[in-house]
Formats: sequence, structure tokens, C-alpha cells
Amino acid sequence: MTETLLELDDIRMNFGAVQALKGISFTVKRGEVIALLGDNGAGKSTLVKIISGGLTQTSGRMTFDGEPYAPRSPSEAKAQGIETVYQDLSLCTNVDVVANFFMGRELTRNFLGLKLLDERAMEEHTARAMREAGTRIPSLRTNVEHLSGGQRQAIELNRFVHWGGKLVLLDEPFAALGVEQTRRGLEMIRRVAAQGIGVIIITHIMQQALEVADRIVVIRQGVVAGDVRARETSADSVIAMITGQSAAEAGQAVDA
Amino acid sequence: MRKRFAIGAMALAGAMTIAQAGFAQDSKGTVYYLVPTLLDEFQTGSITALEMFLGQVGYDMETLNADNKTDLQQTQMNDVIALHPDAIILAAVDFNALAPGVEAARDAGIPVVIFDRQIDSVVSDFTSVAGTVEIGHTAAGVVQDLLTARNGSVTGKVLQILGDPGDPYTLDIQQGFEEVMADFPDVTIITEPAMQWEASNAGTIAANAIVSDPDIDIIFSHAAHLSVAVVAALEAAGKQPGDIDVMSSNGAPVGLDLIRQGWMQAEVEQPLYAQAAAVAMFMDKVVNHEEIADGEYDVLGLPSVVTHEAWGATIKIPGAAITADNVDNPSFWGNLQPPEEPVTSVE
Amino acid sequence: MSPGQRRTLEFVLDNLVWFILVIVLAIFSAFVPNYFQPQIFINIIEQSTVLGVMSIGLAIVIIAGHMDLSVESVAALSAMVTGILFASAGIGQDLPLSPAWLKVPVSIIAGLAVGGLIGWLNGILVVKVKLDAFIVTLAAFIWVRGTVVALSGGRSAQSLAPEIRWFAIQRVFGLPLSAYIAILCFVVFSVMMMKTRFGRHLKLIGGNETAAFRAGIKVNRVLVTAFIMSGMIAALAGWLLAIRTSGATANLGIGMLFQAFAAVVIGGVSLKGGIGGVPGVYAGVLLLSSINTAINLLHLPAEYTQVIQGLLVLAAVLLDTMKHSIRKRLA
Repeated sequence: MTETLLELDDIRMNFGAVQALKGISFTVKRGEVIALLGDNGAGKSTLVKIISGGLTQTSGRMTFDGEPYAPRSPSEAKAQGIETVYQDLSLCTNVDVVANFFMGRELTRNFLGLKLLDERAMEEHTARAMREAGTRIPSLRTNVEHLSGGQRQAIELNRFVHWGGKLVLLDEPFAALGVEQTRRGLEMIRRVAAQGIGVIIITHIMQQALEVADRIVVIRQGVVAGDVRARETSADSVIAMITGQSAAEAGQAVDA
Repeated sequence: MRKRFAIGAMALAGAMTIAQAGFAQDSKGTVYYLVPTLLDEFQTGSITALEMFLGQVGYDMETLNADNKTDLQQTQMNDVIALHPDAIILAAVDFNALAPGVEAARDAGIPVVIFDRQIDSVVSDFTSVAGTVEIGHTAAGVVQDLLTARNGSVTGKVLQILGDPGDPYTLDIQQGFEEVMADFPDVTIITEPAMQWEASNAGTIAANAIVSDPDIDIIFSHAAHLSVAVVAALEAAGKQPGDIDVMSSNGAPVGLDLIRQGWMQAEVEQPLYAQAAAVAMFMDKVVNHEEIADGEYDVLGLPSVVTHEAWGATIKIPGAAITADNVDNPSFWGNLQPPEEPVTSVE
Repeated sequence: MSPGQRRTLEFVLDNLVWFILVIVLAIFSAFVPNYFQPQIFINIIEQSTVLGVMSIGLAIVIIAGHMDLSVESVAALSAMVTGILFASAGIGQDLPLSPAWLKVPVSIIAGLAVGGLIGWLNGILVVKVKLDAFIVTLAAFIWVRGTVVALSGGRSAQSLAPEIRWFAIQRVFGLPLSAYIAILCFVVFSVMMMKTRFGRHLKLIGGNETAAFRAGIKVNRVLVTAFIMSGMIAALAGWLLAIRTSGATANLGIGMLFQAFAAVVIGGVSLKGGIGGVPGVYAGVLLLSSINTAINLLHLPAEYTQVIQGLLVLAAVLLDTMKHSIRKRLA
């Protein structure tokens, strides 16, 4: 078992004449938390979509868990162990908490040869996961449309913790959360990483990035503008990388 | 001349198809038929009959279907006028909405023949109808006979099923039927419409009516395909043929079948073949703008009368009542046996 | 509010259309002459057979966030195929089979094959070619009806084979077998929607197609399957329609699409997708039939049926909005 979990090699993405990504390369190790930073439109979300199977890159290769990795859909990415939490929430508000928690992974039981949904087992699992994460929701049978933004975010985060896999992508996960919930969320990320799961988190908030990440990767105009250890840099130097001052003056670069 | 040419062609090639090709080359011209819908066997039958009879007197026919849409038929009328055919035969979706179209065609020098559905608000060149109101009258006569046979006098209860509450054709039949039945106060008439002439609607009406009014004597639908669903509903409710009399008013093949099976007691024939034959017989006079003389004419053996009305020369051909006694008569169009004798133009 | 009260209120909200049905039936029984008798209630269930089955397919596609306007025409085509194959009068070919009971499975399979094929085509055009379901199925509504007219030449097929007609005539506890077929369909598809992964996925897709896709649900495959199902269910409705009228005319079933829509909306299915269930739709169909029957018995002119149905749909939508705001307060 190698230490490297995901390796990106010269990933390029064109939308017609527009070059969104112009050759991105970096690696993620097991149990490592990477914060992906960059200005709006730098290409972060495009990169997340490529890793999670929602988009296919124009050129470049990915290696995941020692194997060539080319997902054609989110379900293929998921099958190989990559979970994604999106900026715009991936919840179905028309069904209850349990149905959302088990979306696409519903448990069934045999009934006279028919595979029927095992609602009780799913509810028990959901209740336990929520309890462990310290999330309080009045009723797991309430439709998500009646829940607050924070509660919805919590469901989504708990879902990725529960289903873990090998690598987790988080696209602006704390945008709608309060202080206390954000703190819990960051704890959750550290806990996940401690289990040897790789984490890539996209965020705007420098403080969060420096607090939770092992490494910080900055993307600027479709290329990697900086790849530094979080402990060896400062907020000012990262901002400098984001806005386009040289990486040398911003901090010490590390090997990929 | 034409006959000789045809015979010559047949002698040369010895094949029927070639003879027909020769025949077509000798056509006197083209006539357009605007048919209101193809969703009804009377209408599809009228196309076949008109095409055949007009062919016998030397005309080609093209057909345009209006799908029961008034506006579509108006558009078709305008298009056909631009094509300058020798004549237009019109069976109108809406009797009055097409009146301006009729005037426009005649102004352009194209004669217009009104077929099956009478238009009295505008002058036309020739009208060949059984008369929808008259069909209602005939139906009323049949109802009187059936009630007398059942109850000894003209008393009882009749369920009348209309085609669609928005269709003037069915409303005219209703008007004719009810104006005669008004003289019989001991007859109760319940009227329900099967929306859009849809058969299963008629079945539903019948199924409910025999529960709410178990004393119904006769179910009278304005078309045979509605009676089919009525009979299906009666059968499903455990009724036997004759428990309730069933009749309708267009003489379609399915109606005749049900009379043979005993489920239906009567149909009011619309004389489809004779109506179509009359159009063909007078087509030369119509195309050449000649005067059509009043008087009695023999149309396929039916004594028919031509009169001059406010809307022009009109031939009215009586519709007959069909019962088990005469159901096999080949002159009924529902038996789908076109007359073998060809029609000839009126001189 | 105590949890018990809350649960009761939620139960009433979830099944509102059933309560309305009971109330309406009680009112009609009290005030419409001849209404309160077993045969009338049997008639209502019997009349709900064809419309009910057709509405199931429509409801499934709408819950999945799409639309199927072709159901009425597909039913007509299936009825016409059955009529042409096994009716003996008109354009019926009276296909001889031995043993004769084979006519039942053969006619069903022929109808379902036609319906499934049209559903598949609709699904592919919506999912793969990315055309709008409304337009695709509107086109199918037109061209399939055209096929019926072309196939029949405007003529009708009558006197359906007695082996097939048997389902409309043979009665158990007063109801014809065809009505049991409809009830069975409601049970089967209710279970499918509520208790299977496929049904859950349909509902999730109707709620948020992107989220369902990201969660690894094979959205395209599920949607195409839903369209095929809708086509096949409509075909079964057409088969039942042919049985009910002992054959098929070219205009058979005309106007049923709007009835089916009314039933689906009244039954609590939201046209926005993701909301509602199959049982409510059955209640909606029964409610329409009850009102229809009342109008028949009152000998009101049929125009009133349309006015009342229109108002009913409007009331259903308003009620749905009200339900929504009550629920929000509950949560």
C-alpha cells in the first residue's frame, strides 16, 4: 500500500475556446487534509467536478489508490471510494432525513422474495450517526424542506463521515453554518483524516484552511500557483499567492 | 367516346388496371371534397362512395380532412379556392362558420356542393342531404313504434345520448326528435351527452342510467358506435337482448351487426350511397353552371325530390328505418355493398 | 401540540383526498336521489377502472419530475390493436387462436409491447437527446392518435372475442374482474413507489435530479424505465377500455388525458415533481367518477361536468398550498 492516495498529472480542461484548467498536478496522501484555495473562477469547482466524476477532463491523467482513475459518473467515483459534498447542497428536500442520508444506498430486506426498503434499519443507522456527530434534528421523519440551512448542512456532512470511503471532497462546506457548527465540522474533518481518509476542502476562509489543513494548494488562472505546508506559511503569504505575487516570497514550496 | 376509348384500351391490353388508367386520362376535371372528420364510419364511407360515383361520371376527387376543426376547414377552403378545381363538395364541421368560404368560392367561379350537412345561411349550387332534423323526425317515429310494441301505447322512458354538447349535428337531431316527441306527454326523455362522441362515455351514461332509472324502455344514441358501448354496458350489467331497446341514427355497419345479434332494435339509415350518387348525377350540371330542374328523380331506386330553396337547388333523400326485418337490404350503406349499376349524369 | 395530536394531523394531511372522497360520497348519498345504493358505488369503481390505470403511469412520470401527455393516445392505440386482432365485426380480424383463451395473453402482450415501445422512445428523446418531456410527449399524443386513425382508416372494430370480454362481464362480489385488475395495479404500484429502491429513486429524482445523480443514482436509466412503465400502463388501460366498450373506435378515449391530469392533481401529486403518491391518485379518480355519476343522476347538462371538474382541480391546488403552510408550521 503506497502512501499516495490520489495523484493528478497535468489535468487540463477546455470549455470550447476557454481554458479553465491549464495543467494541474498535485498529490493527496492518505490521512492528509488539503485545502484548495483560489479566487472566484480560478478553476477549483471544475477540478472538484473532474475528481468526483461529474466532468471528464480534456487531457491529463489521474491515479487513485495505485490504479489509473477515470470515472465516467459520480456513481463510478463513489464505487471507488470518493465522496463529494457540494457547495449547493445535494439534498432532496421533498423526502425525509433518513431518505437523504441513505440516498442511492438504500437498505433493503427480503419480503416474500421482494426487496423492500428496510426503513427501520435505515432510521436506526441515521439516528446513531446524528447522535455521534452531536447533531440534533427534531424528527428524522421530517421532510428536509422544513429544516434550517444549518441542519441541512449537518445532514450532508454526517452523510460523508458515515460513508467515508477513501477520499472526501468538500466544496465550500461551511458557507451556511454558525460558529459552533463550523467548529464541529472542522473537528469532524480531523477525525475523518485520522482514520486515514484523504480530504480535499475548498474554502474561502483563510482561518479555516490554516486551522484544518495539512497542506494548502492555491490555484490561480487554471494552474497551481502554490503548494505549501500549512504550518510553514501564513495567511498573508497565501493571499499573496492567490492574488498573484510570486510563490517564492509567499513561503517555502514543498515537493509534491 | 369515353366508353369506346376504355373498351379499346381493354381490348389492347386485356387488363383491368390499364383500362382504369385510360379512364383517368379522360377525366372531365377534379373535384375537392372537404370532409369534416375521419373518426366516424359514415364520413370515411362517404369518401369511398363519392370517389366511386364521381369516377363513374368522369371526375377525379381529392379529399381534405378537417379533423372536426372549424378553423382548419376554413383554411382548407381558402387553399382549395386557390387551386381552382371544377367544383368543391363541402360537408361542413360547423354549418354557419363556412358560409363566407362558400361565398368566396362562388365569387371565384367555383361551384360549391353542400353534402350531408345542410347550410341554409348562404346560397350554394347544389345541396344533397338527408337532413339532420329530418333524421330526428324519423327517429321519433321509430321510438313511437318501439314504445307501442313494448307498452301498448306511446308511453315510457327514453334515454337520449347525444354526441357532444358542442356539435350542431347532434343538436339538430335532438331538435328534430324532441319537436315530434313533444306531442307525447307520456314519454319521459332523459338527455345526456357523451362528450366528444367518445364511446366509453356513452357506456358510463348507460350503466348509471339503468341503476337510477330502472324503468328505461329505450336508449337512443346519435351514432351506432355509441350504441356499441351502450350494449357492452348492458351486457356487463347482466341484461339480455331486448330487455331494453337500443337504437341509433346513422346506420353504420356496427349498428346493423347489433341488429342482427338482437341487441339493437332499430337504426335510422342515413342514405349515404344515394346522397353521394345524387352529387355525381348532377355534377355535370353543377360544373357547367346549368339550371337544375325541380321534380322527382330516381336516385339508386329511392324516389328523391329536387326543390329550389332560399339557398339553392336541393335534393332530399328520405332516410329509412332499419329493423331486423329489412336489415340485410343491400341498399343500406351499413351493409357496405355499393350498387353495382353505375350512375349516369342527369341530362 | 402533543406528539399524538401531531401524528393524527399529519395522517389527515397525508390522506386528505380520501377524507374528501368520504365526505363527498356522504353528501351525494344524502341529497342526490337514487345515489345511495350498492350498485351506484359498484358503478363508480367500475368507471374508475380505465382512467385509474392510466393515471398511475402519468403520476409516476410526474413524481419523477417529468410529464407524459401521450398516455391517452397510447391507450387508444393499444385498444385499437386489441380490437383489430380479436374483434369479429367492423375492421376486426378475429384472429383464430387455439385454445381460445390464448387471446387474452396475446392481446395484452401486443398492447404492452406497443405501449412500452412508445414509452421507450419518449424516454430516450427526453433523457438522451435532452428534449423537453412536455414537447416530446405532446408530439407523441398527436402522432400516436394519428396512427390509430391511420391503422383503422377511421372505422371501428366491434364485438370483441368473448374470452377477452369475460373480464368485463364476469363479476365477483358485484365488481367485474377488470375492476380488480385496476385495484391490483394500484396496490402493486403503491408498493413499488413507497417500498422499493426504484420507487424511492423516482421520488428523489423528482425532488432534485442533480442531487440524485451526485448520490450515484443512475438517473437516466431510472427515467427511461419510468417512461416505459407509463407507456405500458397506458397500454393496459387501453386494453381495459377495449374490453369495456367491446371493441375500439378511432376516437376512443378522447378527452381522458385531461381527466387523468385532474385525478393526479386532485390526488395530491405536484406537477413540480417529487411530491405525492399512487394511493391518493386512486382517490382522485374515484372522486371524479363520484361527481360524474352524481351529475348523470341529476340529469344536469354535461357542460356542468367540465365546469365542476375545472373548479375541483383549482380547489385541489389551493388545498395543496394550504397543506404546505400547515406542515411548515408543524416543523
